[in-house]
Amino acid sequence: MIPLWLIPLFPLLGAIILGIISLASSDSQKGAPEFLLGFIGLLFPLLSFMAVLSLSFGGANTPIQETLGTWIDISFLQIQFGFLFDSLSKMMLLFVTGIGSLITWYSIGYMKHDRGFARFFAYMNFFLFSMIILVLADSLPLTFLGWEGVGLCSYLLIGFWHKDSQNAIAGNKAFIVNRVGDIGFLIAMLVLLSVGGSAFLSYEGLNAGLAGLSQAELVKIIPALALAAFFFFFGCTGKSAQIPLLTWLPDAMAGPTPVSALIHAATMVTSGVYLLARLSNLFVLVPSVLSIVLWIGLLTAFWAAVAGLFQNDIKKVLAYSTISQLGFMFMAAGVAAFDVAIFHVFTHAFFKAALFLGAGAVIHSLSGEQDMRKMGGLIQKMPITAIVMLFGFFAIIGFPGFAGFWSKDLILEKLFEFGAMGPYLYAFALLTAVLTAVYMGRLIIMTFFGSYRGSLEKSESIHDPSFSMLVPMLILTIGSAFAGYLWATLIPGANWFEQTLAPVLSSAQNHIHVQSVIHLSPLVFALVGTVAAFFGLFLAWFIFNRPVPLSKDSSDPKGFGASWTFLWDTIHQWTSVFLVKMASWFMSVVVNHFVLFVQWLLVGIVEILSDGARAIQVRKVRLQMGLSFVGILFVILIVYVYGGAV
Amino acid sequence: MIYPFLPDLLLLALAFLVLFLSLITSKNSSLPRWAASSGLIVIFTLLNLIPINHQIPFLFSTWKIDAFGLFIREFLIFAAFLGISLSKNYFNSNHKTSKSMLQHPEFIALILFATLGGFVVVSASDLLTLFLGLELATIPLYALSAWNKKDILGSEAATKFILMGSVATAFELFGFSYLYGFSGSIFFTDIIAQSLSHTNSPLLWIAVLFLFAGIGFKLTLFPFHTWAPDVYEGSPTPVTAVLSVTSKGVAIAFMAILIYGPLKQVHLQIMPIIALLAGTTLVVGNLGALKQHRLRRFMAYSSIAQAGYLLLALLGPASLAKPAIVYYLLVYTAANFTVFFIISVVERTRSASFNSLRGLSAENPFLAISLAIALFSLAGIPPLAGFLGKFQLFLNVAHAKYYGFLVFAVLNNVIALYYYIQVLKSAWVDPQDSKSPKLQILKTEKAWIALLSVFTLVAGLLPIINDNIFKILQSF
Repeated sequence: MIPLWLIPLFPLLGAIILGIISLASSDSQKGAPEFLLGFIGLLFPLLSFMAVLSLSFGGANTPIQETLGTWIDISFLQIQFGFLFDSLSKMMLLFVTGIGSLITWYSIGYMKHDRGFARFFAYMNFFLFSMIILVLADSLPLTFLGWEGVGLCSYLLIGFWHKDSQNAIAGNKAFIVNRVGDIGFLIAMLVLLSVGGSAFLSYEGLNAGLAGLSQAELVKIIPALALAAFFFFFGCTGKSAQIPLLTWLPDAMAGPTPVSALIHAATMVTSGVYLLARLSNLFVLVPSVLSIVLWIGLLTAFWAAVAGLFQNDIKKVLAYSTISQLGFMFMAAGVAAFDVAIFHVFTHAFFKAALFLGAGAVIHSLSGEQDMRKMGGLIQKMPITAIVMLFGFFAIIGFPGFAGFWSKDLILEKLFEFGAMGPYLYAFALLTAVLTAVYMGRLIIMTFFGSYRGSLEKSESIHDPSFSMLVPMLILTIGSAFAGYLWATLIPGANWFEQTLAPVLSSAQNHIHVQSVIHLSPLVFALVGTVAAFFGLFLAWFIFNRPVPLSKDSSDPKGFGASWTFLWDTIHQWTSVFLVKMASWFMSVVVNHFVLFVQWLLVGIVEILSDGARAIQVRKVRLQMGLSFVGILFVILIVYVYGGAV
Repeated sequence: MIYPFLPDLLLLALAFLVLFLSLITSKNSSLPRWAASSGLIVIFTLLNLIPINHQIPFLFSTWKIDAFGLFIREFLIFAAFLGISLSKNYFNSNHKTSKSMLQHPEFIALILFATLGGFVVVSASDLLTLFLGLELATIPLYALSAWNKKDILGSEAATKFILMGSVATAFELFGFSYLYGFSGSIFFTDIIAQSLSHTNSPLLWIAVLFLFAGIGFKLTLFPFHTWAPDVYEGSPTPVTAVLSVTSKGVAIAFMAILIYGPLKQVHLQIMPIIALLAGTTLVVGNLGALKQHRLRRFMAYSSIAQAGYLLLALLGPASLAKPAIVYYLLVYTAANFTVFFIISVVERTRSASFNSLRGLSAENPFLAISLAIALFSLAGIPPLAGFLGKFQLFLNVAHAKYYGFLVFAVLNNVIALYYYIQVLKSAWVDPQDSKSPKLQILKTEKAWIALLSVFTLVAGLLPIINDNIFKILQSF
């Protein structure tokens, strides 16, 4: 049996080795050979993927719990440093390490001739390490360690090309907005700690503790649990870019495209959904918070889909579609269908990674051009990339048979069955699905159809990427076509995914049981979903299949400088940022000067006293001795008056 | 099984051996020094092997070897070893400079005798042994401080030291005689028994007061500290280092043995006096250090303040105070010796003042970093060992519920930080003086400074040493 700690250890080793190489070669003009670095960079994620594979399919299906030692041991807090490998973490690990390896592979070609090659792979490995810790942890504090680790890597990789200060600003923004969410995570942990002690901080302890509560006890602590759940969700809105903390993700596209594919689409941003599923037993106890999750998910999905319609940067469209799809996942979690949410995380990882890698290939061959207004007609020049993107496109809009079709339909179905409100929720989500097809159709049409509008003189130089980049793209393409069959509702028996997750999630999901008002066959949902996808597709064709007006304004990331995150940046600006700036003004002008004044006063007094103390220091022995005698008399006096013979 | 008495006997023999070797070897032979160093290592090893808690009949009294005594012995050996290593270069240089000294073997032997005095103090179970030990620990230091006969300042320092020291001894003897008069016995057990029933006896209180005054001289407590700046500045640097570490260590061990031994029945009543002495010492030491510009005088004030901090430990119960004292002494030794090693490097070519440190960070980053580590440790900044040490000292104050006093002591630490940073400012911020001669650093000095700095870092980061001291002291 492979010990669990090997899984995170591999990428950690990779990060350390590559980090040392990167530091050691930082002075040289050329840097270490890229072939070797790429090999090391890919080897460790791959090893870790192998380890996950052999654990998942080689061993027994029972959860593995491994405690490495005591992490924190103080009177009110005992945390074990341990890993938990159950079906939920297995599922997450499979695609985190699998897709992580694929995208690392792709990056070897994408990052070629970049001076920061070693640094890039060191970051990527460190990201995988943190992500594995996040998923594999058996306690909330350890998950938080991974949670912070991925945030750090996200920051480092968004600002990877830090010579351009816009990229650095974008990285800062992502980090700061995420930190706002992290405070929610911390508060929630503190609330759990104060409710149930250290036991509530480990997942097993929390589940056992919640299950063991009597009804009376439960009623007493429900408000605290609701608070904890709410703040956990607040943390998730930061990491998973939901309302109100969604503004950082579009900016995060400043990083290299493989990073956007891995971190800002496939893995890190879905950790919010993972946390919800991990804490499902807590969330189902507080339906009020779950309904907040549901509504935030619905609104975010819709809002981001609308915003996606107005973007000209190809990566930014994909960023908004990621936010929108994450909204779908939270919808599913909001109706307590955590397994469906994780399933959508799973399929989304494939097709969104494929879309991003395709977009990366396009950007790469157009020498860094990201503006879709300067693309067009690329299907003739890079057919394989176009096919990859089209597969991803079909998957995301829910074209029958593709991965997104199965997972999105399941979400819609669960929404519909959610009590009396269900049909309305369903309609709203369906509208968002139509919008998805429209804005994604716009992307495909503007990029691949029509005629080339770019400025590259030799348009012959535009071509499909090299072999090493193509293979991962094609594997992901296969995934986006077929990953859905792991849980295809229309095919009897094809529900491996549901069965695998059942041991972890079923108890929570059975806890909430809302009767659906109308019973419909899954076939009906499939049909309606298909119609919605086609409708959106035709809409996109009619609206966007026409010459694109050329525009001069750039679509670079601008940090807080522009309102293109669709109002939310402005809202942040006027609420939190403004308040913080006011507070900092107050601190720097009023409080600081007051403190300075007190400081000068104290220093003045101390200096005067110091002169006094030095005055005692006489050079003559007679005087020194005399002073000591006076001192003794003084002590005797004090003892006589106060102490001693009391 | 090793005879528990062996390390103490060996140390006595070692001191005579060194003297003997100096007779049969040539003048500049390093054999006595090697013998002393290796002998100290052997004794240190033996100390770790002998069984804890032993009472050996010795003349009319008993020779006590407990865990606290063992730890203080180990600390004393550590300090003596460092002192001998530091002194080496003062004897090796050519004889023309005013700083060079002669007769290194005798110098070493005196340090060993002083160390033996410390051994005797922690083994005492009666007043006579205690007194003899303290004197044995002090008298060699008088001679050591006057080692450099050519130096007028050194002679002045030694004269002052011996005058003040004699007065202190007189106070102690006076106190002891009253303690004897109070209990009719010189044995600790009898004194404890007597003080159980006669807590308020004026005889006892006169004894306590005079004992405190006497030891106050040795520990440089206010108002008995006045000799320290002059003596520390006038003596040769290795002697200053030994004075500030060994003699302080012996004095605080002496106090701990008195307070948790014969005086333990009146500990609660003595506490206000301890707090008073510690508080005033802290203020005077810290304030005095504030405007110093000469390194050794500065270190004198710093060590006065450190004595105040050490005294804080005696407010707590024995189980908390003894580990705190032992650990802080170790930490203090490492940091203090780092500084003195650096001072000895600096004063090889320059004067021992703050100005000589200017631009040290550019000229010799290694020294500048070590200096920062040592001074921050002395100031008690985490994660260095000094933080943990000071924390435990303060813990004793908190245990005695002297919360207001605790705040006062911690605030004093702010002043301490200020003047320690003043030194660092010279080393890190002030620009280099282009006219000053270059520093010459020897390999052995470099090694010692590096080792001590690593010790200071590791002892702060890994709680192993601290944990062990706690466990051993609390289980025996």
